[in-house]
Amino acid sequence: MRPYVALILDSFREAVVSWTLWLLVVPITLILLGLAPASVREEVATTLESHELVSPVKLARRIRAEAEGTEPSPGKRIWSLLTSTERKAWERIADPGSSPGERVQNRSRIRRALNRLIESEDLYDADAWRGVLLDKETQALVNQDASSLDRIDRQRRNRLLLQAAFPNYISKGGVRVVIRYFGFDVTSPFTMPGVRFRTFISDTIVPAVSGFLLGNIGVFIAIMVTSSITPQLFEPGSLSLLFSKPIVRSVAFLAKFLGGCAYIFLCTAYLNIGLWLILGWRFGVWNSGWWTSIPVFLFIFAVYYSVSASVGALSRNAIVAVAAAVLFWTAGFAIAVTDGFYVRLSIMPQEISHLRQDRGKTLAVTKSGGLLKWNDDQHEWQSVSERFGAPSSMRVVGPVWVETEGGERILVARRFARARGGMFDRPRLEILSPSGEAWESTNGIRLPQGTLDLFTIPDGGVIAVGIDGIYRIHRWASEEEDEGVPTGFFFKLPRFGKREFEPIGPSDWALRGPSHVAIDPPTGRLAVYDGGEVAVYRMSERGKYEQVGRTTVTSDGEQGGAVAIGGTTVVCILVDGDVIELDATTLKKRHTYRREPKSQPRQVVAARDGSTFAVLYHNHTLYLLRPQAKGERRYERPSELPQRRIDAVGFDEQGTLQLVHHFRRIAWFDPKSEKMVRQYQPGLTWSQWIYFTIVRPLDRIMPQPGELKNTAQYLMLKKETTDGDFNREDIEAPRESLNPWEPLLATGVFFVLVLGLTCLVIERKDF
Amino acid sequence: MTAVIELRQLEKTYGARFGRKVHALRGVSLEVREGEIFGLLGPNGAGKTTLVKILLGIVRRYRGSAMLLGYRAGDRRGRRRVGYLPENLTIPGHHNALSAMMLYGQLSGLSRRDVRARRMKLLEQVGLAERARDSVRKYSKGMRQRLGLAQVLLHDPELIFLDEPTDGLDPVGRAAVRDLLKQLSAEGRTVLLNSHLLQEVEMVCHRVAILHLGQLRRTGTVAELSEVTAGQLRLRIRVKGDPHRLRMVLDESELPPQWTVQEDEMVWQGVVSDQQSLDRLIDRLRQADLSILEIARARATLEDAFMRLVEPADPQAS
Repeated sequence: MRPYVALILDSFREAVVSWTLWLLVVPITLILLGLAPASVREEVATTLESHELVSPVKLARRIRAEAEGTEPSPGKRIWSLLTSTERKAWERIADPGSSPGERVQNRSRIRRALNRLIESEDLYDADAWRGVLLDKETQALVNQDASSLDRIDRQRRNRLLLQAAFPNYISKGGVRVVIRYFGFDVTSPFTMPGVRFRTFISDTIVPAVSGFLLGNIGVFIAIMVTSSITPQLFEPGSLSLLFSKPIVRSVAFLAKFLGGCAYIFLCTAYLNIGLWLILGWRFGVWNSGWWTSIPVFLFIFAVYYSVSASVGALSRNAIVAVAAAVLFWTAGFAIAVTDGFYVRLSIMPQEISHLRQDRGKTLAVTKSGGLLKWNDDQHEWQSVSERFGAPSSMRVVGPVWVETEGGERILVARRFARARGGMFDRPRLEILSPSGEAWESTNGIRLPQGTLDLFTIPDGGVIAVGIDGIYRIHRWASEEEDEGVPTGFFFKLPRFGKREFEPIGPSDWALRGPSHVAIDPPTGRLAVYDGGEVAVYRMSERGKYEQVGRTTVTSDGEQGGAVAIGGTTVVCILVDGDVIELDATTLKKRHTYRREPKSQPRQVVAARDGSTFAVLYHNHTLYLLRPQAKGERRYERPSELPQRRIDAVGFDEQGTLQLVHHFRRIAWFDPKSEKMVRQYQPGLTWSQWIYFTIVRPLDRIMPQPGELKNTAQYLMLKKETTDGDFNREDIEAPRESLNPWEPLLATGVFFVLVLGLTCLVIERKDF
Repeated sequence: MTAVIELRQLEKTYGARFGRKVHALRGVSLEVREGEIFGLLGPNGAGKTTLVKILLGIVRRYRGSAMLLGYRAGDRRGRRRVGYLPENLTIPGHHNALSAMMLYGQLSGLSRRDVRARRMKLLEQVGLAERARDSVRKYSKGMRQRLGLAQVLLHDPELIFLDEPTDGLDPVGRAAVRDLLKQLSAEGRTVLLNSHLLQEVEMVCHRVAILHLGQLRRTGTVAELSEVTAGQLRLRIRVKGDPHRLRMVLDESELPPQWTVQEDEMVWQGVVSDQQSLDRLIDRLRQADLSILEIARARATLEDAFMRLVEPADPQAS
């Protein structure tokens, strides 16, 4: 071993003595020195931001109503502290007859008034808040004399009191962050709604920066600085002497290669450990994944370096060696980009993301927001409403299948996934009617503000569930004069007053988000997930929805969730990975399941009788939850299911599970007998055929060391999908599969092959 | 004496598999005995370096056999006991003499401690001790050659291959190398010296082999090789008279018609095959009315033998 160790050490000596060391160490040191003075300061939420007022109109009405009561209450107290001008503004907002323009104008007035009260020393009145449940922090603050509190504590106390009194209308508000440098604030306090700042740094910023720094820039520089090592060794005057020594040529080559890798390893470790210390020390983010990702980044370098070293050994020319490595990088990049464009623009948008059963019809929603209907006679998906291009940030509302005098219709709408209500969050209904083989689309009414979903209820009616209420739709066809009121600008204000829909929800209904609603088709019950709580509503005999029960399922109300209801069970899934089984009547928690630690649940659907729930994860894994089953069988992965990559699930009216898998294949699976009932493989378009038979196999075969960044991210985050903190409130948001081991295998085979062949040539070649 | 190198009908053909063949060695057979300094001579392209590289396993033989210290050529056990100074040695620029010695010593299987114990003494021996810590980038060609010689001796090899060891050295350095070779021989080491400098080989080598176009032309001691020119007379003739007549005489005698002029005298140097030819040449000079001022006879050298052996064109050359 001695000669080979000497060769490895010689690489180090070469790096240390020559400029190559400084080419890497100096920039790394500068980066670390540049980052070291940065830090963050976190502030608790005090004053109200506009997005933290969930439903100002309802809040105004509630306070107004409490003010008219005889008993002391928070609303009465607030009302008493308002100025006469403020009261007038609030009354106009609370008035159901007020115009939308007035509401928008007065929304900010409400916020300003509340922020003025937050500054006040007099807001808290023990009698007024007697019936309100206060948490420990609030309790501690109200127990102190208001005049003894400093300004921040006073603001905090009043903010918490308002939150506690009106939890449905005032969101908790995240921590505010101030970025600092050398101890000075360089930004104003800002909030990141739905985002935990440290998690955001740890899970989003760090992998992105490290991937860019190490995976791209670092590897490129490393290739440049190490490219001369092998050709120099193989120079004629140097090589003859080396090979005259009692060593094995190929092992000497590998030792020299290893020396280059070891040198880069030290540089990578220096950067990673430096960043790890800075992030831990300055930002409080101690992510041990940094350590495990070092070998992956080293491997990325080693793959490129294997090409450079092999070409360098055979050509004995450093420039040719670098050119070969750059060419290899470019080829891999070009194939990855081609595949990426194909997937993003042609394949993925056409993938089915949701299935919905309505009146015995199977409807599917694609990732680009298109709508398909399953034709059970021709065993094909029929396009109903097309959308092209990249996967949309729009979410499909509905679809529902209705039968009218004019025939069958599909109603659907689309809204921004991150829309939070507001007067412009009124999705336009699209009415689709069959016209021969195709479907004709016409514009329908604008749905109520913040509509999340459309459902058909047992009496055949259609309801829209929104953040402001539940509405029965009376008329969906749009009339021309309903286009809106001209404003003189590029938009029109929606016209109100026409009874296209009527509220049938409870008066205190207000969803602060993130929210998801599901219906139990046989009974019309609604299950709602909203900001960490699950509630069930049933329709009364008067045709109005009323609350059955409500429970808190997570203290982290900023995370997204979804629900399904069937029989006596409600199942709630959370972004953090929990699957919670609840009793549909008492809302008591029965079980919490967590089976896929490396992925998060995406969808949950219920069989009509509530005997089975299907939970689909972002890694395309399916679990079945059987409330009647015992032990492990209660929540398990169906062993008989041959499909392993499932894109969407649904139950038909007979309780058979429908699965869409591998692009657009569909299968029916009986969860009771655990037998496949039937399955079909619809035909592909020529473009899809080219992708699945040529582009994708080529992409799989070609080594792409760049993809190993996913492996590094996986090791850092321990998740098989990217879990951007910006998406925490949206459980449906695509979480890209990191696919950590596939590139490792393909690239590993390539790596071994390149080095193996080079060793063979070196052994056989006359030098 | 034991043979440390044995070659039997050794052949090397480059490009044998790809059409355009170059025969670097054609059936070379020779032996180098223990303790001798063996000179390998030949013009450029004769196959000397190829022969050495085959022995060291850097190049593969095509046919025949090559044994080194009792092992097949290229065997690591054999190479462990060999020191090699290649022609145009390149020492990577990040080294100084000490680090280079450490690397090459360890490559030869020595421990760091052993290298540390030996390297300074050897550097002193080759005159590099004072510059041992300087980067080799600052070394002259001669200094690099000395460093190369020092690394050759570092692991105390039994057999030493020196490819143009005095290349780049000044006369003092060359003399030092010659002394070193003699010292090595006295220590019982075998040296295979590959050189263009015939005088050098003549001065230090016990035996010499002359290669030409891949063929072994002759092996033997310097004296034996000099016999190749036995009977021939190397002459220096000084005459005075008409140059046209001198030309006529040389043409008649089939001798090269070239001479130098010194004032009014003409000096011709060349080789005549025997005494009778010399007598005839003198008769013709006299008949041509040229005055013979001086006839001097020179001693036959290795160079004469070398020139004689490599001059004829090889009809089989590819």
